[in-house]
Amino acid sequence: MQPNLLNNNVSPILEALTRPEVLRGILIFFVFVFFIMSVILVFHWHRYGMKARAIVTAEIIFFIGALVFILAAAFSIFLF
Amino acid sequence: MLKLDKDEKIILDVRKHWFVILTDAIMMFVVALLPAIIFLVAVKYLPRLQTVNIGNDLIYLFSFFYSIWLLGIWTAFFVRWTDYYLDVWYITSTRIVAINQKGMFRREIIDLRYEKIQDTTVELNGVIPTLLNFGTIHVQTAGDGREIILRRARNPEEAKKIILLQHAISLERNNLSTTSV
Repeated sequence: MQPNLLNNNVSPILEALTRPEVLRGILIFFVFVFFIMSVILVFHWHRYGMKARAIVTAEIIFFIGALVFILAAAFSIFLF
Repeated sequence: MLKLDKDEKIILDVRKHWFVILTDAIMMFVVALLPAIIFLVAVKYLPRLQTVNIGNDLIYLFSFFYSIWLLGIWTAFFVRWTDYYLDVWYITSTRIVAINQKGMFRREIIDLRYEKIQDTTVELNGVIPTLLNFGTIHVQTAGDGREIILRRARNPEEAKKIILLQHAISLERNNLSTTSV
């Protein structure tokens, strides 16, 4: 069911943002941007990180945190 | 990746103090909370928004955009952390390798042999740097008057001590090799 954002005069942009297929598109776009950023970060960590333990720890924390946010966003669409 | 010469050893790696990344983390934490605070305040105090149907659906819509927002902040924080972590000086037995990471696509590496060092100074400005022991290290070279600087470095006095010691050892080694010729 589409939510009634405002009782009257709902802006077309807001209305579009309430469609699950639009939300899925937004999610895919941001996951793609995240993927590009992750590749750049992992490249730097592995090339310049001197195999330090801090880098490995950061990598694990980074991906776990990101996974939580991506899953939360996906789950929100599912419940919406 | 740093390539060491034969018989060269890393004595100390000088990095920025953790306070630098902590202040960034606090700022990003505040920015992360901002949409949630604005949303709650707006719903409570703006009468026009009282007409918004805040049913379960809208909360899920908000949580979707908020999760995306947090993902962005999370990634931005790790970009900042990478910049912080990869800014480092390796003090080895023969030289100082100063690596300055500037964003994701710019990296400056300066090799400085101890024989070329003219002066090393340390600056600790303010209450927090003095209490937490971090500051700026300046190393100046002889001749071309070039200077390398690491700001907000942790334990700068120790770094200075080691640089001066290695400088003295290197001069002594050079004198020995000159007299033996």
